[in-house]
Amino acid sequence: MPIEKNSLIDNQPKGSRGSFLPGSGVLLTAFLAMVTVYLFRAGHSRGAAILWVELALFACLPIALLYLLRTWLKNDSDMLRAKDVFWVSQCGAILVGAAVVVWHRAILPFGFGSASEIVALTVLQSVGWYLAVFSRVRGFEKASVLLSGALIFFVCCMSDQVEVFVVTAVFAFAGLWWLLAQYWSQLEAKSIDGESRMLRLHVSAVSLTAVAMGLAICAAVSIPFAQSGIFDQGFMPFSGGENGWQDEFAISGVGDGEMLAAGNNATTTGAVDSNQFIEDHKPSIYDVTTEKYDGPVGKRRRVRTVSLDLMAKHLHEVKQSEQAGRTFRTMRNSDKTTDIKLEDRITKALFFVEGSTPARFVTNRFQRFDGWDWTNGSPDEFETKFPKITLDKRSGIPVYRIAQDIPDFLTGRRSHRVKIMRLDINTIPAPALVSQWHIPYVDTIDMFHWNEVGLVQFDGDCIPTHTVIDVQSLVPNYHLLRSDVDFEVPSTEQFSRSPGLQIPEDNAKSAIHSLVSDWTLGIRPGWTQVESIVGHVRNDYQLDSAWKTDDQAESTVQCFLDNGGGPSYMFATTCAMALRSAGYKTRLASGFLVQEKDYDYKARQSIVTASNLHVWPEVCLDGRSWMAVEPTPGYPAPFSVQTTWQWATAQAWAILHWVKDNPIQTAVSVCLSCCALVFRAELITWLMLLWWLLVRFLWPQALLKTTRQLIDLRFWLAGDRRPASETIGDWCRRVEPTMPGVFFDLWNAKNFSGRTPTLSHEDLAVACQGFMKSLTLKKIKDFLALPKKANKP
Amino acid sequence: MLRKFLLNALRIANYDFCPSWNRFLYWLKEPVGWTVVGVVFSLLVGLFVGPQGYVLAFAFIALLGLGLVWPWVSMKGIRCSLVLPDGRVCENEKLDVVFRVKNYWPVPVFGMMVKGDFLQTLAVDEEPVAFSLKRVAAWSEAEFRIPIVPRRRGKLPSGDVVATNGFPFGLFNVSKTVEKSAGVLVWPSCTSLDGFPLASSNRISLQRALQDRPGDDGESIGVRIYRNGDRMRNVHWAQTARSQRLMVRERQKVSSTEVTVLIDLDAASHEGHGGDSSFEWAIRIAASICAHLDLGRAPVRIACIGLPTSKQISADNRAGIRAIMDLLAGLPGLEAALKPGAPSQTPAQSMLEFTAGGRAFLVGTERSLQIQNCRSKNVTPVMVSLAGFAAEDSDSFSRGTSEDHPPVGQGIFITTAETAAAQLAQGWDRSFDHAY
Repeated sequence: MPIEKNSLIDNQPKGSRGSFLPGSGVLLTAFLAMVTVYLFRAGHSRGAAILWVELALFACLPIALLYLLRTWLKNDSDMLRAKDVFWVSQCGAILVGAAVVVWHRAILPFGFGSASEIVALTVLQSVGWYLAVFSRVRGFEKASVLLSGALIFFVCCMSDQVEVFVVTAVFAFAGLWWLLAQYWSQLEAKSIDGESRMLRLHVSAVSLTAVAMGLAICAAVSIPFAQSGIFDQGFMPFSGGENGWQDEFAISGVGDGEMLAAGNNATTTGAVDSNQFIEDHKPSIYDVTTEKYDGPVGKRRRVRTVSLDLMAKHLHEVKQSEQAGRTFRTMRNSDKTTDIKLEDRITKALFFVEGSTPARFVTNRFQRFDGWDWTNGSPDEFETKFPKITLDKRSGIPVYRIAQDIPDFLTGRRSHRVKIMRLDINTIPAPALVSQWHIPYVDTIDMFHWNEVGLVQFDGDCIPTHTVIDVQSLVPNYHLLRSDVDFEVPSTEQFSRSPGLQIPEDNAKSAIHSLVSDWTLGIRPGWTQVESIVGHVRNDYQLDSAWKTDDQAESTVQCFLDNGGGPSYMFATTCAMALRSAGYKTRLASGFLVQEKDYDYKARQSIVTASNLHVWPEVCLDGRSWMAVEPTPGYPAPFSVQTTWQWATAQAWAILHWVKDNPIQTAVSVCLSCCALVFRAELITWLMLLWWLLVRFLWPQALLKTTRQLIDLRFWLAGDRRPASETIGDWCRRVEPTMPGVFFDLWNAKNFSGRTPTLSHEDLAVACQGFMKSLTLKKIKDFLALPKKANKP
Repeated sequence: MLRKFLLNALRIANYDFCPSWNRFLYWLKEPVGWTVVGVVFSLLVGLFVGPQGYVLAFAFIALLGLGLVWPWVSMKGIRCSLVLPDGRVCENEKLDVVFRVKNYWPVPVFGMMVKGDFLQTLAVDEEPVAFSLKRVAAWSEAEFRIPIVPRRRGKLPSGDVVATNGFPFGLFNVSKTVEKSAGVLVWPSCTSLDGFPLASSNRISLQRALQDRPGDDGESIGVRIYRNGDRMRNVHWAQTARSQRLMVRERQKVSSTEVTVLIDLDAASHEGHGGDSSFEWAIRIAASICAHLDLGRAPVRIACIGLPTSKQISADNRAGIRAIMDLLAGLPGLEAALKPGAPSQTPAQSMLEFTAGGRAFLVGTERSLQIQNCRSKNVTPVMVSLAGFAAEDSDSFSRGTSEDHPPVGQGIFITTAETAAAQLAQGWDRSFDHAY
């Protein structure tokens, strides 16, 4: 490569020297700016002809000036860089601007004048064009492009002409091209060529990459953001999903399109001819309960002297209640948990859900418990007066809203979209604290009303299949519940009157009361006690899905306590009894628990089947809001919200409690931490030394690099970090000038000559070890301390 | 009159009135600054004027994102190293360096530049871009062999060498320091000289000038009685036989002058910039004199006047010329010497200290007090005339044009950078080549 005298590489692109002509990029951008300004002006000008004359005049003027200057300088481009020429060119820019003003003053008497701001705009545009023509003068090219960009920007913001926007788009591409060309021209001037060869693929690198990619894929598949991120709702209008992305051509999600023929895909259905569901049996809640928990055990325990008519009537009522889902018997054979394939889950789907998990969709509530059976109770037993349902319209969309005062502790809201599939139900499956809902095209106020257990019921036999319901519910903040909600223990009279505090008079009552007294001892009444009771039930008993009941037992709760566990509905029942025993109004809710595992990533929705049926207690502290609790181990706690500050203080308190409970471990941890802090440098180098030993035996070919890293680490820890621009030899020899150069030779040979050292691994290790021993951390620190000592008086 | 008025007006228009604010404003002169301003104004337009502002803001942000993220990601997979020969070269001597770059990405990296001071002659505002690599292939190690001719003395490369990448738009350059294997010291270039100054010292050397004082070399200059320690080969047998006493020949002694070369490197004494400044030429002249005297085995000491005390200011050739040349190569440049921090060595003290005995050469300019006050016959001034070295825009340039011709008198006069080497050789010949 030829070397010029005054530069490493010639800094001018070939063929560019001696050229007066401006660059094409800058000319194009300035020209587009000129066109844009004149298009803008054409809409405000009285005479188009005079406008085009003006355009031609001021487009040609700089070119004529350049020609004159070129002739004057006799095409000597070097002269153009002289300071005088630079100043003359600046004068030219001022002249052009002045000429535009003079021109506008001159045509004013003929009725062709323009507004002052238009004149100013034209002046700037003419100067920009002039700078583009003279772009060989240093600094003019950038100034021209900047000015053109500013003009285009201004006109684009002021105008609504399509032509202006089109030219702006072309300018954007031209501007990018100019930027790219600018950068590339810098490279072009000093470009060099070299030889390249493929890097050697290390087996370890390939395997590590494969493992990392595998882990990344696993993480991407398993992370929960998919349930609340863009993948949940899709990011295209036709993706379907939550948050209003509901297009009639949507291809997936709950809010899928109505225009699509779905074929055999149950998740994407519209007004189709598919007979997939026509002959299918729609299970009721009773069927689902039976499928999930087996059928109830026959009632044989109460042998009382009653008349046959009464007995027959009672048995009939119980049967009817069971069939209607108004009773839930806790004496059952088993709690089935079966794994079913995705295809089967889709086929057996009761409904689909979009939205965050965990979510509990209530379908029934039970108030009274007689030791075996939970029953709904009569409507007058529900002490809460149901609020009014109103119908509002938001942006033309009908929204049903529950008119109620929202307590302070219900700070959060969340939305779900539910699509009914095979479930035969007429209540809206919604979380406990539902506040509003919306169904497309449904805007009749009488369509919904409260049922006897406080659920919103559809005015019909069942909600039609494929109905999509958007529900919004309130979410409690447990921190506020703990601190802000005061609770008064009810009186004995209230205990006897309130169905929410009813406990069957059997042998389990005293046992429960005794347990609750222990669990709440020393705990402030309120939500903290509730959490304590729920926590004890959850932690002290084992989940046993296959428990066998004694059908002679008086109370299933006593069986649960005696067995030390039982199925999920017994956890809920026992917990409800315990809470009632402590004075908290509690009821049993049954419905569907949607968990993270139910989410189908492909369809971007959670599939709810009979296996999602679950039972849990709901507790009320303020007399209005019933909040779900989860006493069954292995099931997720109800969704709640908290502020960052609340989370942080909770964590701090948890740590404090841990410290208080574990003083010895805390003391040891603090001591170790202090030691680690004081001797951090030694500790880190020691750990690095261990790594070095590992490398020596496992990957000896990487020993040189590890040794260099160890020495660099020692320098860094000593406060004397080696700059990357300093050679390792120079840096180390400051400390130990007599250091042998074996390591440096090996290092340079491997890294800078492309040759691999021919030393055996053992010799290499010896050389590296010698190097490390000659540059210990202490030695480096002593070396750095020398000037400080010398400076001391 | 009009021209003068216009020039003054334009000079005022181009005057930097508040240079201290430049660091806050100069980013606006770069495309990244334009883009940021564009984003701000687009958002304002979107907020107060119309929705097209948001579209423009999005376009600007996209441009900004692409222009920042692409080079950043590219440079994350790049590792660069520079292989230099470990040794010394002189100015204008060619050497080969190898630039190695490894690209660990599975895609090529485009538009990389290597910036660093490879001791080239740069304009004041020129960016030290050494070379550029248009494309580095994917998953490869590329090797670039670059012939370099350093134009200035110093350590090669001077300071950090960084690989930068601003591709595709050059909005923002992401840098990475280049590792280097060694550093090359570039000595100042030397002019070959003829002739040596006459010996006038008591210092004994192993070679060169003989003088008629008793010694063991050269011709016989007398005969004397043998003393213990005299060599037997020097016994004058004829005289011994004649006088019946052991007589020995007395021979000439090799003698050499201890030479001190003083350079006035006070920034106030010099003009010009870059490699053709009077400062650099003073160093080259001193280096030439030292190298030439070292060839004659003369003990040479060099001392620099006018530098801060933190700098090493003297060296000698007892262990070879390398010490002197290394000292000269490592001296700061004129721009560094002009920085705040006044030199603490007073010229008078330095002069007394270094010219106490023997012959001395004093390299300086007409502003050097030592040259102005030089009266000793043992001191040879080498005066670099500032007129021929001053920059075009300096006052000395216009004032000094009449001083192009060397003044008649003692010493060597250097008038222009172009003829400096020839004038030194000619002046030296005139002064010390006895056959001249």
